[in-house]
Amino acid sequence: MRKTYIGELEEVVLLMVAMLQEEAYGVAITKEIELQLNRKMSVSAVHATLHRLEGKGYAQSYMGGATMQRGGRRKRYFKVTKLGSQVLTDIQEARQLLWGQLPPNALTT
Amino acid sequence: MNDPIPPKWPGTLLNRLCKYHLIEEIEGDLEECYTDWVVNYGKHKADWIYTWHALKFLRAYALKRPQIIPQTNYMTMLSNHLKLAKRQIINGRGYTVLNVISLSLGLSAFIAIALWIQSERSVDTFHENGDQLYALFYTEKGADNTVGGYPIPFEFVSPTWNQKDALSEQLKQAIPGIQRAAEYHPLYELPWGYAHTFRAGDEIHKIEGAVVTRDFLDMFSFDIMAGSEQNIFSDPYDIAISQKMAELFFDSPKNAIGQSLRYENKLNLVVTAVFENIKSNSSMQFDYLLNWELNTLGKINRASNKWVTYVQLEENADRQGISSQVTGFLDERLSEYPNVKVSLGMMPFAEKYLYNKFENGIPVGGKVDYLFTFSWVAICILLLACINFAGLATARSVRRSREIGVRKVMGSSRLELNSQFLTESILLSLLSMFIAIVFVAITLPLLNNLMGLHIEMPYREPYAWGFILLLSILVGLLSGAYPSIFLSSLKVTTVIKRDFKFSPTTVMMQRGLVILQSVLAVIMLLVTVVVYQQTSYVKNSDLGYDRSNVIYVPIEGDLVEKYHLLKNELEKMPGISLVDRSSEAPHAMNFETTAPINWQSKQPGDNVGFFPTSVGFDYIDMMQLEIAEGRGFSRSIASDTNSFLINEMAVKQMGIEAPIGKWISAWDKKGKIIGILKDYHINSLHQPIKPVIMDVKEDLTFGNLLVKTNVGQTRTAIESIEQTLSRINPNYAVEYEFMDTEYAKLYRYEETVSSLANVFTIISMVICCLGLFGLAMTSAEQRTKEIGIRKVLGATLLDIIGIFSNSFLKLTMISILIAIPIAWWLLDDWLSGYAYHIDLSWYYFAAAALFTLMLTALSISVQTIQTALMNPVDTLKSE
Repeated sequence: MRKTYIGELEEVVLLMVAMLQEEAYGVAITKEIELQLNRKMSVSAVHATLHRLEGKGYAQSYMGGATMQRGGRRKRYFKVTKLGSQVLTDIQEARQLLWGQLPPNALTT
Repeated sequence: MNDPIPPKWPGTLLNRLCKYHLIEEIEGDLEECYTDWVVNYGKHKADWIYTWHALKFLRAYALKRPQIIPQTNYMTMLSNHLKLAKRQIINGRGYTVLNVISLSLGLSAFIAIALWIQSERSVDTFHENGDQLYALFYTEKGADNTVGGYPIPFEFVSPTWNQKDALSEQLKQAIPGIQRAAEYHPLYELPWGYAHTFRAGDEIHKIEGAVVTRDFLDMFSFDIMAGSEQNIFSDPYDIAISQKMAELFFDSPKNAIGQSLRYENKLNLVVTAVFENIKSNSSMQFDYLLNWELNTLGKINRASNKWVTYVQLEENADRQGISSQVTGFLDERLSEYPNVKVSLGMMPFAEKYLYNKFENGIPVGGKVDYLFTFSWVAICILLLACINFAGLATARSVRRSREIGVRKVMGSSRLELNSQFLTESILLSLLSMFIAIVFVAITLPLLNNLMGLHIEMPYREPYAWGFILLLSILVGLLSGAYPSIFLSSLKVTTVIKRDFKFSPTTVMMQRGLVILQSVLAVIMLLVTVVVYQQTSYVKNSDLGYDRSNVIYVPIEGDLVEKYHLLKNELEKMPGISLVDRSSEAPHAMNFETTAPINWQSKQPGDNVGFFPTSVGFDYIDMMQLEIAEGRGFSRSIASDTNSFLINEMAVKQMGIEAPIGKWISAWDKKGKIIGILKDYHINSLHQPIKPVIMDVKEDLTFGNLLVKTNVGQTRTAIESIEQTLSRINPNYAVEYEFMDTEYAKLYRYEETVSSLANVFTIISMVICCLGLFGLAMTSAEQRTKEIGIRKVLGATLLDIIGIFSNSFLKLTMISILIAIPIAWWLLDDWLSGYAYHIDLSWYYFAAAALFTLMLTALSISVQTIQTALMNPVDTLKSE
């Protein structure tokens, strides 16, 4: 298996990007993380993670159109790249492989 | 609905610091969140959250990277800079010389002051146990006032006057944590001290030394070079002497050990140790040490009834705890003095020298204040020189503006231009530093001589060289910073078009620098003038007695017995008009006592600190003291050996009415008050008038012989004294002092400070003049054409000089107006430290102002006149 350099936080954010589809930008992702996982993050932390993902080639960004909201400033939207989806599936598969081999009562204690 | 607006400044900050392409999304997202926060938390709290989150965006991924243009040719650029700097320096020779002179003067002053401060601060810091050593001081709270000092009056330590009660021993036994303790008492200090006489074979010398208790040499690091270190004072008659003294009497330190020295022609002492000569960086100076037990046995003429006690704490001792135990140590034994409370305090030994002034019984400052003042003087002078440099460089930029324009066109960046200018200024400052060091090295012996200092150049200290290098670079940067920023910011278009003008801010800045410079110079001038006036006022003012033509000699040896013989014989000798005696040197009476003086109608609460003195019958005549009431002592009235005189201050403080004829007593002597002396000064003018009580004792075993000489016959008189004394008192070397010079020595520190101030004021005035001269030079250069046109149109020489001087004189006037209140405030504060001082009258200020104006006019006139005389044909022919 190819070694994937992705941290847990990055994984969560990347999944959110995938989930939110066309609406994946900083504030939306922050809110979604809080909503779904009950995990408070600052916008700046999410931003930093997104840019890191882009740097690693797992995500790609593009500027949206100007609206009347937020003082007319555009949003930067993110979408998962091919490499990104590959990494996410790799992780998922690797986990499933391992989970499948767990004996029935391995986690009960 | 009006949307709430988030605070502005975090956005501005982000714009400054974050990558350009990220700003939009960051601000957008933040604002979006902000609207939510306002809804949830309210506007006020939302602002805070917004700010906090905005600041959190200042993280690595978002911040701008500094744009570094990779440079591979540092060395080439540097050598190019150096080459250009060299050309500039040579090209503008006059300007370079001005700059270098003023900078090196400033640096010389700075270095000299730094060396002086360093040497003062290093006093007493050479002892190995330095951190554990403390000097004790006492604080005496009386009914009216509180006094204090390092030497502790023995009557507080032992009210019963038992010489065995040495404070050091008691402290050591009573307080755990005090490892060692010692008394130290220099035998040559005022009021009764003098250099004691030693004799070995035919060698007779008077030498200054001290008496100490046993621990002294263990506590302090005075190196023993010969003799045993352990048993130096095993016998009361043991003595330790310095290398100098050993060489004086026995040729070498080794020969001295075990030898016998005759002390004051009454004791034979044995040399048990020889210590290295005491260096000038020790506040304790002595050439021999006597065993304290000799004092306990009553064999020594002490210099006073108080002495210093030093303690050495154990390592890691609880300083606070010990200090609090020491504070109340004397409480119990002082029940005899119900109105007085005496407490003790501890001062780190290394700081004792610098903190020698007591206020309310506690050491608060003293020399350290002078050091502080002079650090400021040093910084001011250096600042003056830097300002000069900056001012001159900016003024000269007119000439260089086109060079800069061309450079910019060729693609030079601001950074490069800056580094070019800074290279230039650092080069100049290094050059000035070199000159300054040479200058200081040459003048240092002179300075030492003049001020009585012992400063040396620290050639061998690497840190000193490091400091000097750092200082010159700092000065270079400091003085080059403004011109380089200013020059590199010039706009290419204006510069190339030659319609270059100083912007109003630059002109303001230039003027501000000139004003700041002149303000500093005027303040220093005023301070110097007033300090000088005060010092000479103090030295020459009428003290109420005549101290001129008086020579005094300690009464010792056979003189005690043969006083009357001596008086008769001396008065017959040529050059001498009168001989008398007094228990203390009349110009520096120091012994104060309260309890032993009683008088008729004294109330239990009365506490008068009397200054007692015992004199001969002719004393009043000799010193020309005035008697306000009653009469002086007279030989023909037998009861006068039991009579007293007191001064007006004493009458006032005693609260006695019609004092003449009432009885008064001092110790066991009781008699009538026969007269009231007019108040006179018994010490330096630092001290106010003190109550004096005077009686006649012509058989006292100590004191001074006073010899009044005839005017103009001092030399004959000295010969007479030497001849007579060596005949009557053959076992003692003859030593004499002149009262007026000794009185002047009471102001030695003021004298030093005053002459230092003189030197540094002259330096700063010169720097200031050089700066003005340079400015006038450039301004004349700039205005040659204008002057040419004015002359063509009929302006006279005087008109032109007037136009020129006006602008400079105006600046000087403003500086004077700013400087005077500051100087007044400083000086008023300083003068109030004297009990008697001159008034700050307007004419000091007027004189200083006039002087500064004249100096300004003088320093600009050379240039102005030269320009004004130029033929307009020459100045106007080219365009």
